[in-house]
Amino acid sequence: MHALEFRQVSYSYGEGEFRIDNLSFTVEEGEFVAVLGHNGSGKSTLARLANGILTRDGGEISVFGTPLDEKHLYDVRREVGVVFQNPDNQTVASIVEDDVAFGAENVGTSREEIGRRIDFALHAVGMEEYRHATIARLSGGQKQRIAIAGVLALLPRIMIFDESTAMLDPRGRREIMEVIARLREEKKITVLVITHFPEEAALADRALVLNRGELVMQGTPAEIFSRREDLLTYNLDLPRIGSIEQALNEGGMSVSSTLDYRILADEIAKELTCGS
Amino acid sequence: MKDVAFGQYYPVDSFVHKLDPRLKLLFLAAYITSVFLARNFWGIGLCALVMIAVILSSRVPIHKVLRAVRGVVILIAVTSVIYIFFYDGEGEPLWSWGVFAVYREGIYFALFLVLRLFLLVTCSSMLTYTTTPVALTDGIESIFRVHVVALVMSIALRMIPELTGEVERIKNAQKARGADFESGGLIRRVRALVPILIPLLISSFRIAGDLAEAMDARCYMAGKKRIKYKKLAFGPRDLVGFLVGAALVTGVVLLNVYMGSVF
Repeated sequence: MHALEFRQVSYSYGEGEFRIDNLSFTVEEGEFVAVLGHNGSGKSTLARLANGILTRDGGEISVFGTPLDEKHLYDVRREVGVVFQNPDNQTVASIVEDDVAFGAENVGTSREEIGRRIDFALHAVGMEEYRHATIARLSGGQKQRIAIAGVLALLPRIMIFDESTAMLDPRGRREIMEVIARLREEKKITVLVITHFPEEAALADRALVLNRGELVMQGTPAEIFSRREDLLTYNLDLPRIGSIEQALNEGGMSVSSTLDYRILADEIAKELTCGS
Repeated sequence: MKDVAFGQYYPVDSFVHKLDPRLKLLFLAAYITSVFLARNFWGIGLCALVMIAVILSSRVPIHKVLRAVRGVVILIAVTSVIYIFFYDGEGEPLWSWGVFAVYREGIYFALFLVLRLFLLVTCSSMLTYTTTPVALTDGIESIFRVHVVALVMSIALRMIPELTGEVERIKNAQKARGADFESGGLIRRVRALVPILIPLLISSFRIAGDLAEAMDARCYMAGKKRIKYKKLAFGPRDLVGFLVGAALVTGVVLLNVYMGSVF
């Protein structure tokens, strides 16, 4: 059973507008998948289709075997949490605790259980001491962590991050990526990160590349980033380490394509000792 | 970001903060009634004493409280000037010049009015300083038995700092394009607001769209009954608040009866 499955999904924003056509892919339980694509590639549409905020025109979507249809819409939504881009436009309450409670109140069964969900969510993002803080006074990274906690309070098994770091400063970005890594390791949550930062995609187990609503590449980040010409046609950048390798290779030092700094450093060291 | 006094919660842990929001709303009603009932300085003095006690036990710093009053200073000044100079009292005026005459009663009235307005504004802002918008709307919801309205109000309050920031951004963007908001007559200044209001309208629609999407994603179902995490419950603390409120109203009425009226 796949955690998330898209089977020949199509969606159109209207006649002659942008469309997704025949999109098929699967995500396994516990996997960390990055979805890369530049503006207008359909990567954000994918997130909205996966939890039924947008309704597909054709094809099938299922989450842990449950089909996404009218009858199961809220079952699926509970399993698939989405964290959006803008940290300011996702919170409904002024106080951290009240906002995290919002989702739990929608699906919770009792007050005690809602309280436990809030404890769990705030602990998972490391924001317990901000429980009674005013959200407007937090930093961008902290606000986004609260948005993550708000989604976590629904206890989803899949979390989709729709460019959730795009509006943050480098520090906020690092904070969010750390939280994501922790969610995977400690909470065993399946993660889909939609991004245009190659550095973030490099952390994933697997990467999907979308271009104009089509799935054009699929593989480990190392495989994807070794296909430089293809990436160029899809308007995607290499991660910094990829650019370094490229420069080294062009300069006559042959290093293999890797996304690990330590491996690259070893290879450079080996080349240098052989040369002398 | 600018600090917006209205609807801004001051987060500390205090006796007043912990009171039930319904009690605080009732207390506010009792307080306003007392301020209007008071017919002499003893009564209004009692109200002021209670307010000082409330402020001290709320641990809201005094400059925050004064900031809330700042908004009505001009109103207070203008009305008290009118009272002082145009009040027609009996007996000898203390001072007169042409149509202007200052009577003892006029000064009393002005002083009374200043105190009243000051206490009314302070009391209402103490409510918003010590009660989160959510608690406040929960209280309103519980007293008036209305739903959804509370969520709408809480989101509206939550968006005030957001939209204030947005206005600042738009204003700066328009200034960078050479817009002038500071000079010209009234009509020109009002017209200069159009390039702020239209982008603001559009961006608030965008924010509303984003928010609706985020609420959907968190399984919000309009109309469906939700379990409230924060359940309102009266405690022993609230009894103290209730007694203070009741004592205040009774005290003011008794002072009216026994100490006479300034009017």
